[in-house]
Amino acid sequence: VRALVLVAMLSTGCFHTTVVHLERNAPGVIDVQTPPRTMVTTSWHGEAGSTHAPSVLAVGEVERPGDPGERSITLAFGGWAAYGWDRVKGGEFDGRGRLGAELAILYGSEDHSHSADMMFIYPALGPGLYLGWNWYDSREDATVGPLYLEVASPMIREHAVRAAAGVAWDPDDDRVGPQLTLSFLGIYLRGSLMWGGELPRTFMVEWGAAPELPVTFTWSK
Amino acid sequence: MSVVRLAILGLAALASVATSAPMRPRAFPLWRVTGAQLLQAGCARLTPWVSKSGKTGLGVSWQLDWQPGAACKVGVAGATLTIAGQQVQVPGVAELSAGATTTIGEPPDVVTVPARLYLPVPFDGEASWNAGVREATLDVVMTVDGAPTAPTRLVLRHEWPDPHEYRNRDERRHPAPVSQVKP
Repeated sequence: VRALVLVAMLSTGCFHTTVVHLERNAPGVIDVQTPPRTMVTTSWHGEAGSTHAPSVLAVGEVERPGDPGERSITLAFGGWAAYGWDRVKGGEFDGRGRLGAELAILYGSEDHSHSADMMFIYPALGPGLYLGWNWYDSREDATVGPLYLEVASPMIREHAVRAAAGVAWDPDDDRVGPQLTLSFLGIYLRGSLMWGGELPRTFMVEWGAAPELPVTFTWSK
Repeated sequence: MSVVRLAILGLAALASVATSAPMRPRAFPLWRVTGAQLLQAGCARLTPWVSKSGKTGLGVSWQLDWQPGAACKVGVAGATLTIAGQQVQVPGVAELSAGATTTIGEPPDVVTVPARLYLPVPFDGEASWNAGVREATLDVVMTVDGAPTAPTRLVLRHEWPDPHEYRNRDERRHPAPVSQVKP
């Protein structure tokens, strides 16, 4: 029964983007001096499309304005689970599992409005910031892991491939170092190098999944 | 058993990821003429409506239905838009003679419709929308055979029932949006 309930919950839209359409700049693009044309038809996105034989703009009808596109800010919060290996300087690679949480803020700009409606994980395919925290490590000798801050940029918009670079910081051990992440939707590959404090320099690479629940606020250009 | 549960959850999660919500076209705020709309001017009955609406203003069209056998000319001498306490003067448009029609399109795709007048009303429609201004009035002075008539007031309202455009009544949960020309 529990499995069925979970299936129902997941199937009805877990991980799907919640989009809030703000009123700002909402009117469309028109050339007010030109009488309404009847008609150059509009495409799915409302842009000027193929020309058809003219039809009559009925009394009471409004010519559809042009689509100016949209901008968006996405806030996403979620967890991540990863498995990887680290290697202390002079030592061997050792496996470890990690769990953490992440907060993201992403900026988006689209030529066509409502593009975010059909996105399910990351609707804003523009640059953004990720703030994360590793709160569990399977290694008994590990302390609570580092915080990290990454600046992300899309690499391939259509496929949501993102690259992020930033800094990992462990305040408990006073260690810091660079971190790189390559992600496809919610799956990622991450590497970091940390040094400082009393511990030797450590290289870590891991892969993981980071399902997040985004809320996107869009407004018109 | 736990493996089966995990498999079911995995499949459901994948199905969830692959199932996106329907993407509906964007709807735009549109100015509408509210209240009584018919007007008799000379030998024509005029039906006004807002035919263009956007960031840079709005456009008002009138359809002219001529009285059979009558002869007159009808036009717009000018108009005054009053919005948020500001007044915008709008120049008029030329008169049309009784029996005139409006031709739309270019050969070979030409359609002839009843005569129509179009009055562009340029103003910063985006700024007024962002300022929360939703009401305006347009005082129009028509001309009949070159003589101006008493001003006619059109009460205008800026409406945006929903950010999405719905394709049929079953699809929408909100009041019907203002009619727009669609493909």
